Amino acid sequence: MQQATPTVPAGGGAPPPAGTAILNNLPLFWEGFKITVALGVLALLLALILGVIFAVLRSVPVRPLRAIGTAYVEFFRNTPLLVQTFFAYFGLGAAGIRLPAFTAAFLALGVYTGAFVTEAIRAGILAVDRGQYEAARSLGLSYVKMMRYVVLPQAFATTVPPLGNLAIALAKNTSLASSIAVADLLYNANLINSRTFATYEVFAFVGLCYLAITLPMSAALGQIERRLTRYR
Amino acid sequence: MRLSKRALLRGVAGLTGTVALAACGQAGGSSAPAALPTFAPGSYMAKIVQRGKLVAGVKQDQPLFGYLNPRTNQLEGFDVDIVKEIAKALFNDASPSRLELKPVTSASRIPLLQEGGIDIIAATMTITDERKQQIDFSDVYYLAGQSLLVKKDSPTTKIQDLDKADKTVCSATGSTSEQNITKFAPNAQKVLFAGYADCVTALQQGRADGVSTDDIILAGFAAQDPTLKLVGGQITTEPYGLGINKSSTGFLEFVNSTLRTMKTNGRWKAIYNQWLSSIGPAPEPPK
Repeated sequence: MQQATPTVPAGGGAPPPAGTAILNNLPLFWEGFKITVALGVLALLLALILGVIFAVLRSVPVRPLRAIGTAYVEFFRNTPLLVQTFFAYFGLGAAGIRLPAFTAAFLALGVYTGAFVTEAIRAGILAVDRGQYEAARSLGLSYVKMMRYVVLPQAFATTVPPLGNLAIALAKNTSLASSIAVADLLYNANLINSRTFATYEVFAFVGLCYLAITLPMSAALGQIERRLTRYR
Repeated sequence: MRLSKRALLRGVAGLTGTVALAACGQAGGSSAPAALPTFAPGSYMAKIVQRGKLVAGVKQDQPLFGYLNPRTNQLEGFDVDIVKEIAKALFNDASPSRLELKPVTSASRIPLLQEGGIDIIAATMTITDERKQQIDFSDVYYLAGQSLLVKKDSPTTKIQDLDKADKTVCSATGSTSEQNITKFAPNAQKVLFAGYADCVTALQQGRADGVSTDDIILAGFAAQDPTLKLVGGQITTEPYGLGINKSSTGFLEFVNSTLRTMKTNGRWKAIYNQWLSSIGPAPEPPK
């Protein structure tokens, strides 16, 4: 399969009119856009799953489990995503575990964001009024039933805004995958820029592409928040 | 032939610069610090002199050409010594305070020059028509050629051997090398990183079958890692040039005259012998 190469107008003479670099290379931008979205969706799913698991681990009254949860959060929240991405690709590679670039990228992004999701969900759980726990206990609900029917649904309302923020941050963080040669939006933008040198146009357009991903997310988030707080 | 006002201004500035340079050459025999050369007001050299230092963009991860020595924490190499000569010519002063070195990458060097963050690019940059649309190039200061780096036990003897869909070749984003890979091995998968050091790591880990870029750059890496070797000779001729902003009045002529001086008075050969003698005996300086 031949890899796509950017289209460049013939050399020599005056620079081509503004916008040519974008229009000639729309297919390449689209390919990058698809990879960015795929990366974001997979990483978000991983982050949500890890977030729920570790938030519960940090909340149960069993100390070793809580310690595992704390270790996960403290380590992956406090190291830079770029370092984690390089580690997943080159670091593990040196140890013999050769992950393909896309896999390394979405794993690093998912695990990193998962640490933040854990804290967001845990904050939601903590925000539920003490009285709710006492009322649930007095009704005779077991720990699991209490979490499932009383605490977690109420925690959800508090968790949604921070989760929305994390999802938007994740969408932008997908751009770091370009540093390990994942053919995402930023990687292709760099490629097109290096052939056409239309730097301002290319990166302004890429900025708009990322906005096209994050603005709808913001709007959806606003809608969900409005629905949840309707009766407050 | 009608001389445009711009060309006339450049010619006068260049001439003034050269005259000032010659004058300083004659006067600079005493042990006291020599006076700063004066350049035509409005010329780019005058602006640099007024600022007090030359800002040059060099590589920091390119052994032999622009490399941050981990032991001394200094940038060093062939490119670095070339801009040192230019700073010396600008200020008639070889002290390190007259030169500020800014690390650049293949992708960032031209935008940085165009924005005014650096005065000159000395970063293993090949002269191409495409780039000439954006910036001015000095005379050729080194003739390199693109080659291929593979593992010592690899059966590959030239880049065309990797022209298959299951082979991967690595290079840097924004380089002429990656465009040449498409030309010589169009069916190969390409992997692009920000710098060649990442490419070499990828090669060592078996993520790429070869790294292709200028032979001088590859030789630096092969010198550091004996499990790698260069194959295939030079598939292209890569003339290296110094990059100068198109709006730097008079600076291009000044840099070219400095380069000419270096090539004729033996300084170019001395710098070559200091850094590149492992490649082979010093050739004649390129025209």
